[in-house]
Amino acid sequence: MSRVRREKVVVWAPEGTPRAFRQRQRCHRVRLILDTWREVGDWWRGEGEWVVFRLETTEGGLYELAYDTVQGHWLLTRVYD
Amino acid sequence: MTNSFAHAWVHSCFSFLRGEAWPETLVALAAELGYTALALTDWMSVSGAVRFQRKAMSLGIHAAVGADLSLEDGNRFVALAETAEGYRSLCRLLTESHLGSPRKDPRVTWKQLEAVEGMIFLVGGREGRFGEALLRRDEASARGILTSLLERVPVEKIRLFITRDGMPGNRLLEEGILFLANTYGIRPMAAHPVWHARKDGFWVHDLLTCLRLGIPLEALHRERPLNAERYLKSPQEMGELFRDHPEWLREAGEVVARCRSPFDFGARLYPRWAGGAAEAAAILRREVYEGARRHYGRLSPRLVDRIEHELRIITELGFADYFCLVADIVRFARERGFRVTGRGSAADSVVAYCLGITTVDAFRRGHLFERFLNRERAEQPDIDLDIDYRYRDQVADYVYARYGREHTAAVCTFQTFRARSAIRALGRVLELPAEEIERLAKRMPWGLPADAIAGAWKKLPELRGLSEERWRLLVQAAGRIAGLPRHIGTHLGGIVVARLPLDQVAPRQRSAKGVEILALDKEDVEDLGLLKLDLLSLRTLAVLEDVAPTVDRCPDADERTYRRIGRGETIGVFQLESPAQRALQPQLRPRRLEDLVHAVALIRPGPIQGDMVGPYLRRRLGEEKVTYLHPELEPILAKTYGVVLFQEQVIEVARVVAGFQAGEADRLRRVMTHARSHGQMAAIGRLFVRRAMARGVRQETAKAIFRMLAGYASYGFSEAHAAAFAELAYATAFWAEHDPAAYFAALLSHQPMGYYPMHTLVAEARHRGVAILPPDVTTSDVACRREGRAIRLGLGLIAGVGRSAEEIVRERGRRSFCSLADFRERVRLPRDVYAALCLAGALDGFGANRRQMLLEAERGEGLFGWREVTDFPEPTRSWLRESVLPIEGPTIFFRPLRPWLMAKGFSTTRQVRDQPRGKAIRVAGLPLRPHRPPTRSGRTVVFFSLEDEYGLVDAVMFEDVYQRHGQDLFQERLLPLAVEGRVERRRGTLSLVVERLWPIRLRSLDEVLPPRGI
Repeated sequence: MSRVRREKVVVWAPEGTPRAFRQRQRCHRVRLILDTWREVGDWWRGEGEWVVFRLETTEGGLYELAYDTVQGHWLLTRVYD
Repeated sequence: MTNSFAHAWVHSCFSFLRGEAWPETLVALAAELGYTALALTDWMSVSGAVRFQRKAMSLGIHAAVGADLSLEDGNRFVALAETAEGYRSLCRLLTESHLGSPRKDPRVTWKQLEAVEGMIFLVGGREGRFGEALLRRDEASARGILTSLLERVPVEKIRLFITRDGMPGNRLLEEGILFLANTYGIRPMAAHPVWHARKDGFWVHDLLTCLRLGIPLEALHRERPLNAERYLKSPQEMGELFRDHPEWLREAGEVVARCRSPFDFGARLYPRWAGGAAEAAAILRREVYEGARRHYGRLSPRLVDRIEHELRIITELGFADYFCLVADIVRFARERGFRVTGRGSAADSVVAYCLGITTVDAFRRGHLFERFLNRERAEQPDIDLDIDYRYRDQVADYVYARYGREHTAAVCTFQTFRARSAIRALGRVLELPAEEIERLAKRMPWGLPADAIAGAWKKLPELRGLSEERWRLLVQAAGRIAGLPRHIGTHLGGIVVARLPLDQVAPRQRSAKGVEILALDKEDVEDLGLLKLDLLSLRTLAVLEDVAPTVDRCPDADERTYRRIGRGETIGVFQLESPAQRALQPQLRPRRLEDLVHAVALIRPGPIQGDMVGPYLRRRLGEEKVTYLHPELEPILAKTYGVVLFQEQVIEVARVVAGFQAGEADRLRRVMTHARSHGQMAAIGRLFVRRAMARGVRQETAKAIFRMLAGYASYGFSEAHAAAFAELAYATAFWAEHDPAAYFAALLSHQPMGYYPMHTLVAEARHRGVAILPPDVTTSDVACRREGRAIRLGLGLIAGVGRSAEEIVRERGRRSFCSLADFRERVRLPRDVYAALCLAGALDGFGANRRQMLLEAERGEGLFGWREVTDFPEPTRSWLRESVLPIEGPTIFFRPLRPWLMAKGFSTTRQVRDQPRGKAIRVAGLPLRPHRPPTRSGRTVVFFSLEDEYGLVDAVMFEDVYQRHGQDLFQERLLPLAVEGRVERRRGTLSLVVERLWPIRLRSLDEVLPPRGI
């Protein structure tokens, strides 16, 4: 199961690949990038392209982070239970 | 390192409603990016391959051709044609899958794959069951699929490809593919799916996908593209993506390089008429001279020279077979009594005339053979055959039987998005309100290109009131999909015949109408050297056949006929009935066929935009002196009073003044009539002036002559074509004059055809003294027929009666109907048909009252089993109109309205005819065929006819009035109009110059329409 969200987060991503991110005062370190892809939002509403990372944190959490290439910010888009 | 990579999985817009780019665009982009090879692999199609290879050759790119195949079980493989046999194999595969599967969902069977040769199969990607299995880690299924393929295709002809297109799961897919590659010893390669040329084409690809799937833009669907990565990536981008495995890139390049380009553009694949070319030439010569003796009797040396000249060129260019074949088709049709006539530039040929292909005597008329065929332009000559539409398919069947179904097919056309279709399709995807979509679509001028919507919005007053902003995305999207092919259709008359089985050239498919068509269009077919025939249906020939079945040629120069034409009374006459032609005739005052040839050619965009109509008429009427810019022009232009009217004259002027060779001159004509970019025109103009000066023509004169030619630079007729049409025009005018009842009866029976609705033709027949007898089940046939000086309307004319008309006539043939009860008893009709017959008066012959008959039926008191019927529709007035309007026209509106209109100061169209020039007048009528032809100034001029119960008056509306009132004229449906304007008379023509118009609302008409007729 997973929960879909669209929450702005601060991400440490040297060379574009997330290494750690902060969510609600908690810092998560990335252990493994499981998959990565690109997707385009609702282009007819002017939404841009996201680079999405499915990753596993050192605590064993499974998340999806997306970098919005138009807005230039990171979003937490999915949290797996 | 990455230079050796080539894209092997590329889709163009010939993957209908999937791909976004033209094949030519993809090739040009590949060349720009530095690629030296490219493959085209459209989904289940090679329809873009010819233009793809043609463009690739012009840019020095190696072109490989294949197809993206869908299998019966949901698998997807890419197949590339490695050899010529491979291409043939691919064509067979596609033909079988298209013809053996439901339309629009062709599937290749595994069994078909057993027979393929010379092809390389690329396996991979997430599309299809193989990729799906790997993505769900179902290794066994993936192995099973691969094993199945390996059982049919040698391992060295299979590649497993890796994609890195930014999609989720790519890593998993890659791992699985590499594992299988190692397990089975299959070489891996890099591939990238290309569905749009550049990254910014993504949204168009997405929209097209929505259109294909029939889903709104907001809907989710697994087939919609997730990202914008599926574009033609550069070698650098591909190198970056696969920097860890450059050998996979190299392998892709090698695979594409191994595939041979399939087409040989220099080949001539015509069917052989006889044993060899020499034999065909001998047969042709014999038949031509036989025909010449039939036509001319004694053969003069000049005629023999002309025939020999034509035969020499035809034989040298290898077209003897072609002429024999066309002559054979004409012979077949004539032997069966089917009317057939050649049109187009073929009528420039004496050989075609002698063979009976055309009816225009090119020798006597001095037509230029080089317009039809010349050594420098060794293209297939264009012979179009017009055939009585009732027999066109029989003639086509003969061609199929003569050359075999494997060698013969209909040519396809690619239906493209135009303004109306784009608005309707995109409007649904964008979820715009249906009624607004329809309103907007209907207001777009017919045939307007989809990328002209934005321009039309600004220019056309009828679009005012619709917010462009609201439709912004639709307009933008329409501009992008304009001209893209959306599905394949059947060419109107094109049939292709080849020496080889067509499966070796291109696949066949089935059109929506069930016709087997070759999946190449007419230009492709000609490029590949296949023989193309245009067998066109012409209803006018059926009319002539009905009127005078035993007369091939009516008496020449009939005075009465020409007098009638000269008065502009040409409604119902082939090619001469438009308002412009009717206005021309009183000025032209034609007296012989040549004048009609000129008339047909004059009302064309070329002479109109070239401003040649006015000078032609003034010179003809002696109001202006006939002058020539150069003495050498006189022999060429004398017959058209010094103005350029025909395409042949353009060629002759270029030959005589600038010394162009025949082929060069023809190229000039083509540039002028087709390309017409400023650059091209300027370049050819410079060449013309230079050559003319070299021949001693003064620079100013040469420039002036070129300006005169350039003025013509738009679509104009060839003289031969105009002559062929003029002969038909004369024949129809002759019969309309001498036997109007028979002629108009035939014309009404073969509708739809011509310029006017049926009620206008009925009015014209009445005008010529023909009485119109109502349809009557006791006497009418299905079609209309002459009864003395009257026309008995056919039952088939009544809207909604359809095939019941045949049933009625058949039953009456057994025994006449003696009463209504007898009729009802013997002919069981659906109640709507009965109602339509009743309303049209077709049951009046029984003496009963129409309303009574309907009410009887409604109450179930009839005698034919309607006792239980309780929902018989109320016979409303609109219903009455619908069933009667095709015959009665505006009478039904205006007769009851007339007292009211008279009180308001409206004149009838008949009264307009008696008014002096400049008289201000008000007229009410139904507008007919409003249109905006191109003008030299570029300003809009609208022509239409206004019709009331007394006839027609032609109206013209200039730009300023159009901008104020155009929206009331160009409506979705026909509305009666009130028009204010001034009477204009010019050289015997009368028109109404519109100053103001407004619609008369139908509701008010309904209020005044009395409850009668039922």
